[in-house]
Amino acid sequence: MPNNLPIPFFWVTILILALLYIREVILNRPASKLKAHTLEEAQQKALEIIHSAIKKSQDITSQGKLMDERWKENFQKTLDQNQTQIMSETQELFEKFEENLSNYLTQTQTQSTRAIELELKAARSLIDNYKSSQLRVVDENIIAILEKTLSIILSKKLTLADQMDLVYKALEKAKAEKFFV
Amino acid sequence: MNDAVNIFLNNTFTTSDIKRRLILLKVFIYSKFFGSTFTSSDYDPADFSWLQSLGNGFFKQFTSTNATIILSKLEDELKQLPVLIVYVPFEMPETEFFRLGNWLKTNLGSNFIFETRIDPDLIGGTALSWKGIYKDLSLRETLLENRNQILESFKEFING
Repeated sequence: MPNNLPIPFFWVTILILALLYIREVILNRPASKLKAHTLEEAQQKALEIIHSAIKKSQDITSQGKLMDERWKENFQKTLDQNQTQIMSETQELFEKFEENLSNYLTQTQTQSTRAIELELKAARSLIDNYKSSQLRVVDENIIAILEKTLSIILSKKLTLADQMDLVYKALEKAKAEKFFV
Repeated sequence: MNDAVNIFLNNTFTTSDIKRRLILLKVFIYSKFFGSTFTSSDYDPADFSWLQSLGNGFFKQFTSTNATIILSKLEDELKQLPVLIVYVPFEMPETEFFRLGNWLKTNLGSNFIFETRIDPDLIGGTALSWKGIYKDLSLRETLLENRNQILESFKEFING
């Protein structure tokens, strides 16, 4: 845990300094009761300081652990929230994408269908026009064809008597219609 | 003069007959009155037969002085007769000319003369032209008149 490292390191440094101070006091002062007392007092004080430092270190460590757990908890909570949000947003995005895609496909299908229907209508119209024009041509020519066919067939099939019979019938008709007035 | 025309037209039906027989009559009359060397053996038997059919009464009116005048008047009157033009899609034989001529004289009048023309497009029947009016009574005309009915029948036949 990177946050916990400086705290013991700080207290160990203080401890070393305290020991150095004690050593200095012991080494530099003359051996006397006062010195001993002072030394003892200093030692006591140093021990208190060390004890206090250790306690504080433990507090800080426990506090750090607690914070770490809280942080973890918060992190997990945030992560969960984010995950839920991301999932929700992703779901929403997918739904929107699906909807857009569906709309696009429907629109494209409608457009395609409309285009095909128009093409079909145009093609049908073209066919109808062609059919009409061809039928008109047939109608116009059918009598001519029939005329020609009859002319060829009747000229071979009709005997002179038949032909003359038709002539007399025509003359009778003309007489009845008073053509010879 | 009308009698002469009627006698002349008795067995004469077409304009070509009239032209031919007028020439024949002139030759016969001129040979009789103006000393031609033409004899009966020089005529075609049919033509001679026709001349004989005119009868003595017809020839009695001719003299050496009026022959040219009578012939000229006869020709003028014959030329003024209206001609019925009969269009047919086939070539009519001589026998049918005679039959048709008789039919026309019997049904329409003794002075009726005609001439035929061939029109193959008529298919059947005839077309007539009389005093400048044309009337088509052929099968072609019948087809055209019944055009719509024929087309309908044809369409029904095609559509089953």
